[in-house]
Amino acid sequence: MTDEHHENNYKVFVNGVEKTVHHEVLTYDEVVRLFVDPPVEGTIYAVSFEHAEKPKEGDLVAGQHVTIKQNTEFDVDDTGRS
Amino acid sequence: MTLVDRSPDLTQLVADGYDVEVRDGNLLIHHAPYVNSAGQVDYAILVSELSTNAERTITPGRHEVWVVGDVPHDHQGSKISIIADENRFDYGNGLVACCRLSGKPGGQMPVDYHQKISNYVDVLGRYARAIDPTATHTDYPPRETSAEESVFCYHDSATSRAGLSAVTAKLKVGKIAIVGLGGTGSYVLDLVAKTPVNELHLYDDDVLYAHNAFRAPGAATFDDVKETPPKVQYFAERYSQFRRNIVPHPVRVTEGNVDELLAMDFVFLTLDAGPSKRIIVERLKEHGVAFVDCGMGVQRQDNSLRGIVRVTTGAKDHCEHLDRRISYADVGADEYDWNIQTADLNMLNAAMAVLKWKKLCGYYVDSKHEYNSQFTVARNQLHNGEVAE
Repeated sequence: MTDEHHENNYKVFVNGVEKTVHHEVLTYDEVVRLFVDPPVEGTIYAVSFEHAEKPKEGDLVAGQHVTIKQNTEFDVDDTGRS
Repeated sequence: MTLVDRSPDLTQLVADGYDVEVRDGNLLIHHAPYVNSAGQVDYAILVSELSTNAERTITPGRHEVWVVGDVPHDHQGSKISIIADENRFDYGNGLVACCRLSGKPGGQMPVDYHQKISNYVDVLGRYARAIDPTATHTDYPPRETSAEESVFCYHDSATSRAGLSAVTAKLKVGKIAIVGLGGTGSYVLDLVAKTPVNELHLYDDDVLYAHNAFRAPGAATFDDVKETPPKVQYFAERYSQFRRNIVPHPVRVTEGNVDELLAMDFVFLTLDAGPSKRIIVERLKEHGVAFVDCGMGVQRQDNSLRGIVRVTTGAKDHCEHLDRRISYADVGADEYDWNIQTADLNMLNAAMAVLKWKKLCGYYVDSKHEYNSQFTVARNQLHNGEVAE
């Protein structure tokens, strides 16, 4: 394993579960799929995160992305219950 | 709007902490401190005629008031000088005056009821405070109200005591609907019931089961849940002990009846994600009816829980974000959805929704103008999304 390859492994947490990803820009779709793959058809997921590179914290909707760093934490949920 | 709301002088009396009642066309001021014939501080009801033009009060027709209580004395044991006569006057239903007072503020006819009443209460109260400096008209006990007077079954003394009548008046909207009386919806009801909204319309076609009682405000009895009443009926009856004009609709909102919501000034969407929600959101959006959509999700991580609580607001000119924030996929058909909900998160979701509604009304300052707000439990993160420019 080269050093370069090593740098492309990022440990992130999705709903508290550790995941490894290999690039630093994650889209809404990619984050959702780290939680449920495939996503439930037609479902809109609420995605929140912190400890990221840019922006540091926030939320994601379809079409948006975030630049992560080691140990970025995500939460994903359909927030469909009342 | 009651006569009190429409009359600036009566509204000012309420704001000054008076317990004001309009009964049978008369103005009653409850809990006016005075000194009775035994030399003790007591509290009288002052009764005044009430001149109106049907819409609001006009200049008082007479300057006198009648005292329901004992003949007022001064702190040294003499009858006060402004007693005009001690003729008994029966107003009916147990309201009997013992004397008539005649005094004019500064020798002039009072210009309005605020001046008329505060002058009498000041004169009587001065003697009472010579004996007990703490005697005041503002710490009045609970009193039942009439439908004409208030949406509440008894007087809201907290608002007038805090001098918040003008702020609270912003919540005097006509009609509000709560669609879905599950955990979140029942807590929304709990909060909105305590505001002066005129009518509250409850929509839900489900019945109350034992598990619902564990995610609802208050404490349902075993008999309540044993009978599995329609949820809207149970909540309408329970909250009608406190306020008027709660209208139960034991139905699901569908394409067939969704237009009923167009008559609302605001709608709380507290139903599970599904096709019904899409029908409602589309129609409210089309007609510019403002609403808040609530949603939460709780998941199990080992033997603990984590989750997100979300509030999404739709209003005229603020609809573009709705499709990327509100899910219409049927959660009931999702095999991964365990439908975990907890009372405190339902309550938080409800509080976030009601808070946003109050901001839209101008009750709370809104310097953020976010149209999506979500709270992530594990990381204790509150994030504002869809922030308007």
